[in-house]
This record gives sequence, C-alpha cells and structure tokens, in this order.
Amino acid sequence: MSRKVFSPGQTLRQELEQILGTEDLLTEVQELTGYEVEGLVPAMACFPRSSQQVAEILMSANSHRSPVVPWGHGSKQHLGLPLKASGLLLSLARVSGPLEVEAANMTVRARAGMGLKQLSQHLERHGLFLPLDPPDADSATLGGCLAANSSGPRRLGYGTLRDMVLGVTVVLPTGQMIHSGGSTMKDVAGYSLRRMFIGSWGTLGIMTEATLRLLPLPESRCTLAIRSNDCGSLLQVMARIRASSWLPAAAELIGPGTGHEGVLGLKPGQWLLLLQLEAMSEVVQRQSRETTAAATDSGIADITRLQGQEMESIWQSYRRWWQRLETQPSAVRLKVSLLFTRQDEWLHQASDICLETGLAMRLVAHIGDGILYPHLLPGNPAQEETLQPAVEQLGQLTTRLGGFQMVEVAPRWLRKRVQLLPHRGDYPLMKKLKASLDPDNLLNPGRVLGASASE
Amino acid sequence: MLSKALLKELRSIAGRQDVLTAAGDLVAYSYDATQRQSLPEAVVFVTSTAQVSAVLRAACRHRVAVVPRGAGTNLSGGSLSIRGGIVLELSRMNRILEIDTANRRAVVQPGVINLDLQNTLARLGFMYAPDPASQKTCTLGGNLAEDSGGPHCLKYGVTSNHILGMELVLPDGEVVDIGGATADTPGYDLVGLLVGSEGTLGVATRITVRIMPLPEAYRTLLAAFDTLEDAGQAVSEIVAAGIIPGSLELMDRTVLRAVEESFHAGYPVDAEAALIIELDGLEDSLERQAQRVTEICHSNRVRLVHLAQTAAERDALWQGRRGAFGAVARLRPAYIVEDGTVPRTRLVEMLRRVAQIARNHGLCIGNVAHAGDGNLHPLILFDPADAAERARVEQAGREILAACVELGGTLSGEHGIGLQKQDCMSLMFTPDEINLMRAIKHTLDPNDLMNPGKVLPPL
Repeated sequence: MSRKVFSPGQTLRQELEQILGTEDLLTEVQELTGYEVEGLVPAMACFPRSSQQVAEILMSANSHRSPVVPWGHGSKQHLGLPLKASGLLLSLARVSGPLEVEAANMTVRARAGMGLKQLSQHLERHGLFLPLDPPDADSATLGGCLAANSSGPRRLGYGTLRDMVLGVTVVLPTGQMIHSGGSTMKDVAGYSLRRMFIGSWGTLGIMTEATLRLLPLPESRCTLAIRSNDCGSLLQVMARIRASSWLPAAAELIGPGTGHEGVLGLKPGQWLLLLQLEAMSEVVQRQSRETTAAATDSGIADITRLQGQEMESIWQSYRRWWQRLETQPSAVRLKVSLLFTRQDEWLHQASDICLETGLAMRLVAHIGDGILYPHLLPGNPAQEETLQPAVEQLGQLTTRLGGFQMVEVAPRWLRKRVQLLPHRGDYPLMKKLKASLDPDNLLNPGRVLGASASE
Repeated sequence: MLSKALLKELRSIAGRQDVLTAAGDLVAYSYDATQRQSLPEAVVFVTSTAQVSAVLRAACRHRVAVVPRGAGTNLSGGSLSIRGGIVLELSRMNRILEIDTANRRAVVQPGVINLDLQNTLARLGFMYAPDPASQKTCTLGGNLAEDSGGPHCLKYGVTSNHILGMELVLPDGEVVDIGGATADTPGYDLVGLLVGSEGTLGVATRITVRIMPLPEAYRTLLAAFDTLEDAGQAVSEIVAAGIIPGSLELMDRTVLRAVEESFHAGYPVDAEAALIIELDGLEDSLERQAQRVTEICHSNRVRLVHLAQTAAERDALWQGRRGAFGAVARLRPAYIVEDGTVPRTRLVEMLRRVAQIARNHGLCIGNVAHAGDGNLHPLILFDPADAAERARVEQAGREILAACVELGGTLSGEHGIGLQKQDCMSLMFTPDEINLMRAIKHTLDPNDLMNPGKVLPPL
C-alpha cells in the first residue's frame, strides 16, 4: 500500500469544529507543515483539552475512517517504524489538567500533555522522585513517554514505565474511554491491559492520563565518571559491580566521538563510564569505595566524583550528545539488546565491521541493562553506500550473540532496504490484537509492526 | 464423558498411565484452595512443551475445555474445571533449566515450586523476589498466571515485574516465544498481558525470570500499638522518611492472639495491631534506618518495639506471621481469606470498615495486611455446617470488596478473580472495559476453551 494522507470531508471538519471550536483546530496547510511525519503532512490538527474531547475526536475520526496520528511535543516522531498513512493529527499537548499528587501514597496522576521536565520538577518540591530520564527528558511529554515506553539511564536502578505505571486512562480507536489499573501496586483484577498500551506507540489506543508510582528523593547522590582508552576494562569494572549485591542507579558507557571530548579532560579516543549512585549516604559512600577499588584493579585511575551542579550538568551534556548524534544528516541509530555478558564481544566485533566498511561508529549504551545504541555516521556520500551492509552485518552479529537489533533512526531510503525489526514469532499474535482493537488500522498505522500489519 | 476418540488421542500423547479418568482419581483434581469443587472429565500429566501443545490441539479440535493446573493452591477458584473437560497437570514439568547469575536470569518450567527455586538460588547467593505465602507448594506457572504478590512487593514489585519472557502454548496448540532474556523486545508487551491472565489465554511452558542477589543484611523489628491508627500512621511516616522496608506486615488483635497461642513468638496479645518491619540491603545504612524506624514508632505511641538480635529471633518473628492463617484456623472450624487492596493511606480506615462489617453480620474477622502496599487479607471465620453463617460470610466478603473499591482500591491484590469475584467485576469495570477484556480473550482463545468461565463475568 502506498503511503497517503486521508482527506477529510466537510462533515468531519464540522464535527471537529463542534467538539473543539476553531481555536483548537488547525486546517490551513501552512500551519500544518510543522506537523509533518516522514513526509506526510496531516490534513488537520486537533488540540483537545481533555480526555473527553480526545474520545469525541476518535469517535468522529473512526466513523469517517480517517487515520489519526497522535503527537505530544514531537520529540520522538523520527523514531519507530515508518508511518503508513496520515489524516488527523491529534496533539495531546493541551491535555494537561491539574496534577494530583498523593504524597503520602507516593503516587501522582497526570495528563498526557504534561511535560516530563515540569512533572519531575513539581514532584521534587514534594520530596518525590519519578526516576524516568529518557534522552529527550527536557522536551518530552508524559504521554509520549508512555506511548513509546521511553526509558533512560536510570532504568537500571528503577526499572521502566512498565514498573512505574499503576493505572492509565485510554481512549480506544472507537472513541470509548476506558481505565486500566488504579493507584495501588498490587492489582490483579481483570487483565493487565495497561501494560499492553505502554509502548504501543498509540496504535492500540491513546493514553490520556496515568497514575505513576513515585519514590522518595534519595538522600545522597553522586556520579562517578571513569575514563579509559580501553572499553574492555570499563566493562570489567561494571562486571565486578554487577557481581556484588548492589547495582548503581545508572551505568552508561559512552564511546569516543560522541561529543564528550574536552569534558572532564576527556581526550579523543577515550571511553567514559558514568555511574550514578543514589541511596542513603553511607551506602553511596561504600558504593563509591567499591567502584574505585574495582577500577584500580582494572588498572584505571582516572575517576572523578561529581556532585550537585557538576553532576546535573554531566547528565545534561550526555542528553545533548544523544540528540546531536541522532540529528546528524544520514545518521543511523541502531538499538541493540544483548545479555550483559555478550556486550564485550559485540563491541569487539562491531568495531571490526565498522573498520572494514569505513564508517564511524559512535556508541552510547545503558551498559548495565545490555542495551547499546550504536550510531553510524557516514563522513561523505560515498560512505552512505556502506550503511546498508554495515547495518546488515551488525544485525547478523547481534543475532549470533543471542540478542536483537532494531533500526531506530535512519534516512528514508535506507529504511526501505534494511530490516527494521528482528525476526520474531510473536508478531502474528500482536497483529491479531491490533486488528481486534483497531480493525480499520486507523491509529498511527505502521508505527509498531510495520507494513505487514493488517494493512 | 470425553469422546473415545479424544481419550485415545490423549493417551497416545501422554501415555496410558498418565491420563486419569477414574472417578476416584478425578476427585483429587476437583478442588483448589477455595471451598468449591468441580469434577474434570480427565487429568493429563504432561512433561514437555510438545505434549502441552498436542493436548491443546486435540482439545481444540474436539472443542473441549482445558484447565491448566500447578499445585492447586488457587484462592479464587481458578483451578476448578467448571465445564468438565481436561485438567492439564503441569507439576511434573518441574525442572530449573538454567541459572545465569552473571546475567541475573533463570529459566524454569512451570511446575517448579517457588521455594525450590528460592532454595536453589540461595545457595548461589541469589533470590527470586516474589514469594507468596504459599511458596512451599505453589508453582512458578501458577505465580505467573495469578501475578502473585507476597510480602515483598512494596520494595521489589509483583510477579509481573520479574517475568522477562516465556514460551507460550496458545489455546490452539501453537507455540510462540514472547518477551525474552534481553531487554525491550519489540512490539506490544504480550508478557505483561499474559502475566495475571489466570490461565485463560494460554499456557506458559518455559519461563524466564529475573533473579537478584540476596540482600547483604537484614534488620527485623516487631512493633505493637494500642490502636490501628497509630500503627497506620507509623507505616506512612516510615515510607515518607524515605525508608522502603523489604516488608511491612500488619496483624490485628484477633490474629496476634491466635498466633501467640500457637507459636509463642513473643507477640503482645493485648495490642490492637502489630507490625513486622524488615529492612534489607547493604549493611552500612541499616543501623540508621532501624533507629529511625524505632523513633517513628515511639512518636506514634508504640507500646513495644523490639529489634530481633539474632537470626533465630528473626525467624521466630516471621514464623508467627507465616503461620498466621494456620493459627487463626484453630479458632473456628473454617475460614476464608479475602483479598483486596486500598491505597496505603486508606488501610486503617479500611480495617475499621472490616470491623464494622464483622459486627453487622455477627462474624469474627481477623486481619493480616501487607501494610506497605495496602493489601489486606481479612480472615473470615465460620462453621461450614451452619448454612446461615455461611451466607453471612459470603455477604460480608462482598461488602469488604465493595468497600475496597469505594476507597480507591481494587477487588484483588494477589489472589485473582477466578470464579469467586466475577460477580464483583462490575463494581470496578464499566461494560466497555469488560468488553475489551472479552475481545482480547476472544482474540487469543476464539473457541473459549482455555480455563473458560473465569475472570470475566458471564455474558
């Protein structure tokens, strides 16, 4: 099927005006170009202010068979699988009613349009902590994070949204509004539908509100920045820590060429391991001691302990490096998921593949979780030719090591040529679920399972 | 009676001796841990994924219901064969297939007993966090189906937070791997959907779980309070102080008395509530945490707070809590365990409601609760021979669940809906929500053969 934009008729437009008024509805082409996704400019853009309005819009769109593309702040629209069709753009940015903080229960109920940064700052004022720190934390909305199951470095210590979300409000493709889960940790009444919606990229339904589990702000925090010319010895340090009875809150491995040069005296060619320690102060002290000992044993003396503003700013820089890497022209970002113990070998062989193809590989990785994000950056147009074989060979390497690879960011021409998702046997089952919830494939078509998904 | 053709197929799949059909044998598989009973038509013992798949394929072709069964400790009627059919007996699939401490994963068959896994891991310095009260007998397959909890959920989460992937046999016999040993498998979270689906969507035949190192050290405290309110306030203040205990258990006066009579664990029998507070983690901060907890208890008028000084003392404190159900059972001929959850801050209010409900119906109800996560287990005592009292017990159970929902909680924290609570589903879910669950059930099990008639209320 070719990619297309559905043109809504007069009736749909009138229905939407009735729901939203004219202020929250964009219909002029020049206003809509900013909402382009992969070359598809929507025919209209809606900015509902409540879950109820989202429901009315979806009901209307559904009855006119118009595709709907959900949108938050647009920070993730270049990720995921290609969008197959557009029509109505549904922005959740204005669905941002009041926060309901239950400090004593350590939960918060928030709307999808809430900025993650604003949410975190607000919670901090209550002494509460939402340990969700994706690379786009400064611009992402809560709704976008839920839809994409976003995570960041702290997933090592605190898990992912799957572990934090206690309940959600979802608008189904038909416009029905449902709730799943509630505000308690333990809830086994009925099927755990909420988990299915988290990470579904808005293809099964649109999450408009969520109740999240929070933690108390840790008493003490610090970052250990460990530097070495040899990534193998940094992995060794991490392996030593993983063999102990504690885990850091985060452990990020950052390769040469990612933008870190100059920071903390890092020289070209050096690798950086960032370990985040968050706990009671005695515990943080001991973790620092043990990490230093492990580094010394691996022959590394280059360790800096960062606190306060210095600590904040290294993580902020790190997020900036991410953004810069993925927005370079023709950049390819892969997501490679491996067992912890297989990463060493992967890094070794991957660097050989890149040497052969002449491509520069820039790596950032949640090393404690076995998730690596290699970026392939062609230096010139001739090198673009080698992107395809490099992606394929890295994919084969990953499979050989028992992991899987996904193509997260890539130029459109490359996306058509390479396999974006790993082979798996469970896609047919997922497609059945999608077809059952969204038989006309109207919600964000193509974004999760790709072209073969019921379209 | 199952057709001769189907029985012949089942026998050729599992072997003659592993298909039971004699009335006497079937009785042994006709009950679970509820007070209900329902006879299956055959019990098939399986030992491999291929056999599970073949049994489901045959059952599907003959349109016969299948109920997967582990140890039969289900507390909501989920293991009962209410439509006859086949019991798929998984307890012989009890091998631990792999333990990979470096990657913090283990792979087990569904019939592995929770405690067997714990004991094997403990020898390596590791643990599997979810440890429901029935851990001596319950199986990992059953834990997965029910999304089991236990006393450690506030800090460590529920079963769903620890299942990484599984080999799943679908109702038509197809075998599919969902999730996996590495993080973030692509697509929808099927594992999240399957965990807690009470055996109604498929059968897990190989389960990959997250394991973690055993805590380095523990501090276990017993704190007794004159009022529930003081105990509840202490719980809130402990958590607000940034201390997340590994477990935070509450027992009320009825339970304390029964336990003390049975175990002599040193519980104060005239307190209205006692807490067992267990801190775990790195040794370094535990002393300070224990001090802070003690201070908080004192500022809430604790009558007695005692820090276990030895491993033996710690065991004694826990023995009382673990034996609470058994001890209470001695007070009357029978009891049922209710299971509901409310937000932590509403727990005391909820326990007061339970007491009021008990008074209204002239019943004796004791309470244990996982206070940290707001999960309460009222134990309703009665005499099964007294039909009028049984009816009052049923009614009280309903009222307790309705109150949980009213206070912002849920119908079940860990025991599941099964048969027992289907008629309460409408207290919590709208018709649209139930229809969505039905649509999902229908997508995976279009012939309604996998543990049919459970979870979702009848149409």
